Amino acid sequence: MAESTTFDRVCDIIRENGGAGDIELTLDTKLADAGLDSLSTVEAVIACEDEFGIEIETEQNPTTVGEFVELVDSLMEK
Amino acid sequence: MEHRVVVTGMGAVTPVGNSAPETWEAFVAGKNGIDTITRFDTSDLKVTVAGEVKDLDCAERLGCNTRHMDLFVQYALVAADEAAAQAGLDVEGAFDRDRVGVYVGSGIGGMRSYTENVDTMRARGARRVSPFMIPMMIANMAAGEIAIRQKLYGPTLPVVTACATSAHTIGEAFRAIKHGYADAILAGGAEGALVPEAVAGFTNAKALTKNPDPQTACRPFDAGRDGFVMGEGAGIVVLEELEHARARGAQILAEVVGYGNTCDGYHITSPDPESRGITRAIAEAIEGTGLDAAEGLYINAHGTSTKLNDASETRGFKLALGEEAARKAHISSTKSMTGHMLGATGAVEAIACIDAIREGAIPPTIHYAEPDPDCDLDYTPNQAVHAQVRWALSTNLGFGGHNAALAFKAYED
Repeated sequence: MAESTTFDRVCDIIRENGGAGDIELTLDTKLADAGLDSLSTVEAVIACEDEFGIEIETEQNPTTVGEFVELVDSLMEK
Repeated sequence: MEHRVVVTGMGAVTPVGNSAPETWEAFVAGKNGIDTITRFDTSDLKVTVAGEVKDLDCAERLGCNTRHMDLFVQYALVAADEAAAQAGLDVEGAFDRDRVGVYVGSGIGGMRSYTENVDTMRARGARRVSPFMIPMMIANMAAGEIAIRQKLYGPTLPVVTACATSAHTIGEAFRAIKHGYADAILAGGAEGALVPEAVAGFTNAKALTKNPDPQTACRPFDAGRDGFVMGEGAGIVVLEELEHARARGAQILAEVVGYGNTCDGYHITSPDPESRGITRAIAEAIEGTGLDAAEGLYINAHGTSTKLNDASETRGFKLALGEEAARKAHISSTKSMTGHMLGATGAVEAIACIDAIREGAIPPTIHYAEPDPDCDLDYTPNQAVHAQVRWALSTNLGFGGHNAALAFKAYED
């Protein structure tokens, strides 16, 4: 349950930062396909830090939605 | 081998119109684009008027997300779309994209993007500074974004010479095409720096008028002038090698015939009191053109409405053209209508010169009431006049002592 909530919230942030419109996001969707280039990914990561109250290392570069959700969940558990 | 260079497209975003034709129509009508500032609260500022761009939704006009573009870049893209469409450069296969360049600069760049991130960093720390801050604020990004949008892979040169920026981009593009480095270049400038910090900085530099009345604040060459009014916008022209334009059947709007680029080397904000820099720039622009200064000349002056600029420029016209020819010339400052668009101003004023040649009309200097003995030429006060314009000069001077002069003439085979 916690996972799906993270997924929804991460997807909202990706949509806000990607400008990708209405494409359907799944765990396998590549961030690049969702319209996030490297700078937009950093912007989305920063937005996630605010949203989830976590700190993400600047070297962490998730490439798919699933990796992004995993990264957030692992940091939330700490 | 030297090539002839012509203008085949024009685009503009100004406080009096959101396209080049709209702007020209407003110029001839003497429409005032200066009004009380609406963009932000001015209660802490001594200056309350500006020339704001009005009723323009850049995202809608561009059909894309503009969240990661500073305002100056958005204005530049809108003007570039218009200029490229008029020139037919948006037609696939019409030209070799490796041979078409972008020379578009900005006087200040993305000041709003910078100040917003300064606020964020002070309030919330370094980690919250946008990864887009640098690409949004750097003054070369209008050129970069235009090249991306228009898929142009030739030379780019985003000049930064303050208020002379977009006269210099046009002049440098003219030289590049003349000497064979490109077939065509989108040249011009953009500015979107109407933010409280810029107003405060210019105010304290004693550059802006504190007059709160939009109807008298900006009055170039008038005895009561006491500072410029900030504006914003963009101006882009398509310069093209003559044979290239003819081969693809492009409409030729005018010919670029001369360019001068000099520096006062005197003071960071004040013009040389002997007007040597602007005089040499004008002389350089005219040299070798064979044009008669006493016949059919329109000068779109820099005419900022500061005490020093307008008198210095007047002296420069007399020194460069000769007293008699300077008296015969039709002169005006369209800044009386737009305010000072800084890095965009040279290109918008170049467009005014080209339209004056094409339409046989001289846009007025509005808000002109009281003659100044130091400014004693024909500034086309308050009303447009009809006259045959054989050729036109546009002059611009920027902080740093940068001077630019551009010469255009009617295109003839």
